[in-house]
Amino acid sequence: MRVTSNTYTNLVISSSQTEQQQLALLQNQISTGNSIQNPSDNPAVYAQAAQDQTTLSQLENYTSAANTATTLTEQNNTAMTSLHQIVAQAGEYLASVTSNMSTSDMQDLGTEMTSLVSELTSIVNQKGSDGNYLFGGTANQPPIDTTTGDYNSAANGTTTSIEVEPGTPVQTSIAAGKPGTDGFLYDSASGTDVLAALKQAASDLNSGNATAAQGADVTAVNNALNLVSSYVGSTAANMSAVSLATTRLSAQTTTQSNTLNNLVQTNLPAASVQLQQLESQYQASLEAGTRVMNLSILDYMGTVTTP
Amino acid sequence: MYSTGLNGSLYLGANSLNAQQLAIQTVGNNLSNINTPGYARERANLVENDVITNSGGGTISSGVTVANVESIRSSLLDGMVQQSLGSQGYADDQASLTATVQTALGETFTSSASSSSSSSTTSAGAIQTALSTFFGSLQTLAASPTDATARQDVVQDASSLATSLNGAYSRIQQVQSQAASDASSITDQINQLAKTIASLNQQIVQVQAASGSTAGSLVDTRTEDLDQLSSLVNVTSTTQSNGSITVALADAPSVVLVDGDNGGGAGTTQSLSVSYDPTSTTPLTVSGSTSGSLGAGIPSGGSLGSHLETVNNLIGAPAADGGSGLLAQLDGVATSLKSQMNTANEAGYDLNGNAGTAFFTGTGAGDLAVSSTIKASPSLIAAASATNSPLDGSNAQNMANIQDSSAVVPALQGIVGNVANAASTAATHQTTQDQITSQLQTQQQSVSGVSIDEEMTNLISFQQAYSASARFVTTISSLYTTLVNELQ
Repeated sequence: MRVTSNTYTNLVISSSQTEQQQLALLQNQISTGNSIQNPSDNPAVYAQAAQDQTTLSQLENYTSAANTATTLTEQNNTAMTSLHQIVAQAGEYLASVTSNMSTSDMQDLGTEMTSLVSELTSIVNQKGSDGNYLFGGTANQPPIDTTTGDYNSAANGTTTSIEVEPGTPVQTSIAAGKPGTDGFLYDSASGTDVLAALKQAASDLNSGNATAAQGADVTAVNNALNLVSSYVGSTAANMSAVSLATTRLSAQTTTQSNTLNNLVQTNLPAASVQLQQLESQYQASLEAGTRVMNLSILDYMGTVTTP
Repeated sequence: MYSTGLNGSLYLGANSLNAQQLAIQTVGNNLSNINTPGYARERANLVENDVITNSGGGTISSGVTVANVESIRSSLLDGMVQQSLGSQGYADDQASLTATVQTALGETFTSSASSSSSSSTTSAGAIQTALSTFFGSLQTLAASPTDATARQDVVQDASSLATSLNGAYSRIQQVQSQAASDASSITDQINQLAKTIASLNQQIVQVQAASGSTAGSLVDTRTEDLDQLSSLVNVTSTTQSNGSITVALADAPSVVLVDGDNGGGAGTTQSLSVSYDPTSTTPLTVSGSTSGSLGAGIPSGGSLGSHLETVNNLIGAPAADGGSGLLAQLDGVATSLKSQMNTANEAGYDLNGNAGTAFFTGTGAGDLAVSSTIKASPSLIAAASATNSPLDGSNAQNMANIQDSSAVVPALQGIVGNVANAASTAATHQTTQDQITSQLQTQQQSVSGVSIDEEMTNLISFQQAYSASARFVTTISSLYTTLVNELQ
């Protein structure tokens, strides 16, 4: 092929453009830390990275939800543990009643029992840090009417859940319940009524009814203890479920984050080596181009002598 | 009239001097135009003069003359370069336009240092980030339905999402409008070039008719103009016997842009124009001055073809106007999000125990907005599934689960992926086409290009021939002197 003077110039411009584009790309990758900036840099990688990014965002959202669920399930379990202690204490008071106990001593126990009912009311009607009643169902009402000391009809037994993993809700609220609505104070299947059991026991003790205190009241308080115990267990199970989910979410988030970073972020050692290679190539290209372009017959032409 | 003898020899020497001088002038012209775009090197074709009969017997040649000064061109390579430039114009603009559309969409990767660890976090673009944040807010609301801050966050993040979609949509519409405006400028350039080529046709025909040889520099200029025209729109050109060329659209041969000395709408030729209606299914159309609209996708090549492709197919019309391009696809995502969110919100109950209302308003991505009533009172977000259940956030969870719908996040990722593929393909096509054009131009240069070394060598050769011819004339002159002196 015939080579003309502009062939060299065009070659130098063309190769210089190509190498400078590659240098600019590498410089960008190293300075931003991302191997791709625009989706078109690598559509296949982008598609994968975008999905990973969505998954990562979802994991972060679930982690946030799990943190809230942790707080709520711990609150529930703490409340049930306290309630269990109250009912157990009530059982101990009843167990201490003897047939020959004086009326005065029984009234003292009745006073203690009434205090336990107050403590129970305080626990059951407690509010969370957000000011909402914890155990009044979704109605945000106190389960026990402090004026009458009886169940509040405005409360309901609806519990709530939080999704801590995709498709995995964990119960994060428990309801006190009321006659006709099951909860940790009332169970329609066994006919257990915790509030009524303690109030009846206090009443019998105050009235000196040892027979009732040693018989029906003990049975009722034992049933109440069983009901509350089951809630201590279920709230502990919920707490454990959230804890396990949190651990899994943390591991998945770390893995997903690493996957995304490996996919999108620049491999700095490899990019640095590539940059050095490209620099050398560019220098060689410029040197070769400059040398060839400098060659000219004009440098060798002297004065033309006439024959 | 040549003759033998001293007079004939003098004529012979003088002719040689003229021929070498013209050859040297040709070398000079080549050197001075070495960097002129479109210039084809010229060559002075020297031919031996007629043979004459010597009075003493036998025949003798009578010197040299310049038959013509020829432009060295390959019509095959010129045609291939012209075609390649049409593809190059398309590829260049397509790469540029698709990259601009991608930028307008705004879904680029960014990294930032993570506050929770030493590593950096990556986000995949404004809309996708806004979607993730919005659904995250709904999830937080599901856990804390009475939390006023959580409700405010949902409204705020929904507004940011709507703003992101509105912004991307508006930027893409601006790109479309700008591309349509550029297309109008391109047709103006095409019409102007057609007129210029027609004018050159006229001059070339006159010069060739007068001199009988090719009009080198005029043909060079016309070839350069034809190359420019080819990069703007794909055309076919036919050289006529009188030296003029006829130029027509490759996709519509009946639309003749240049015919003899007519061009740009004069005589039987047509001028091109564009019309842009963003609400039409085909927003940008090209028309011939007498043919009318050329139809969808015509012309298909050159810069103009690229602009048509981008405006009509890549971006397209909004969904409401029957489009199927990027705008319509964004409308689809926005409409699906609005529809699913509204259905979910209307199925639930707000903080006051009332049935929910529409969450989003708008007809597409361009005007998606959070309902003004919900914006004014976030308590109207229907987070609960039952009335008078302020602590129930299950309906907010239902809304958060819309993120799993294939019509929202995956659909958006699909849209971004499509634009990415279009931009990537266009960039690859541009690189390939660039190499093809470069190789063809190198081949064209190998035929028509000027070599300094070659020209300088020729210069020495012609200079020496000129010197020798001059010495020859001097010698003949001295012979004359000798003859005259001897006769005295």
